[in-house]
Amino acid sequence: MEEKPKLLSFFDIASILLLIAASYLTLVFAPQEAVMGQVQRVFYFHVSAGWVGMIGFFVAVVSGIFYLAKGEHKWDVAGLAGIELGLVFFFINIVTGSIWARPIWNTWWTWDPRLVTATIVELVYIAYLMLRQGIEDPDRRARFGAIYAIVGFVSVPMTFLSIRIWRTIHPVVIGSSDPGAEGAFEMTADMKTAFFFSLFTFTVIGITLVWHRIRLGNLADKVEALKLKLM
Amino acid sequence: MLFLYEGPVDTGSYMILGFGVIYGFMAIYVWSLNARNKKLKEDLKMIKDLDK
Repeated sequence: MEEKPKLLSFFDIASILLLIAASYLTLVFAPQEAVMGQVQRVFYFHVSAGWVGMIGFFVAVVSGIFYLAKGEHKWDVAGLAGIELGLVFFFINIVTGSIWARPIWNTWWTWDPRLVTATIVELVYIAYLMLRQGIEDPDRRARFGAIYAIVGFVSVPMTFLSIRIWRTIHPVVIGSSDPGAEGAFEMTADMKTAFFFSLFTFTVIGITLVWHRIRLGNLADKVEALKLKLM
Repeated sequence: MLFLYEGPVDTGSYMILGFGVIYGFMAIYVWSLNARNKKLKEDLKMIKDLDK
């Protein structure tokens, strides 16, 4: 395997330091919300995790388009990396949302448009991984993966827009909320600092992890090629 | 009239659970990347040894 790039080592260290700083800003620096109390602090990382999830799925779309246009296998590796990252962070987003909802909505789960569409996204991409495994031919698998990633991405903006176009109890913190929303709040300047710093931190973490996952994919391909050569 | 003021609800335990999930799943994913990387490197070494 090729040597780890210095820039990736820099991203590794930056990710750890930024996560420590973001944790300080969200847990200590940001003021406690007046009604919801401490659980509101989960919001900063909850939104950031959802953001990274969406970036991961978007990486898969871009990679899918490049694969279909150029037919180079490296784009299939990048697409799979993006989807794996997206799944992990979208899962964190859904679970932390559920934890926040328990004291605020008095339930772990409700059939709200945002919750349903976010779960559909997660299931769409879990299905992607399962269906991929069923295709033996690498070229067919990559072509299938590229088309699925592009078509499946339709569910992502649908989730983002769900709280803006349908009646929902999910708050819209940036922009105006539905009057029926439960748990909406106005962000103070310190809250905004913690929020945007968390978004930046998770973006850097996302880039770092997707880079590591791409390298892992390349190594797996190399091992597979050598195994075939030995047979 | 301060006795009429109701402070925020005590939701500290949910906050701890939330951050536990965030750090926990990120740590599991990093561990998973590391473990898969280690296994592939072992496989690569074994293949190279067999090829000699």
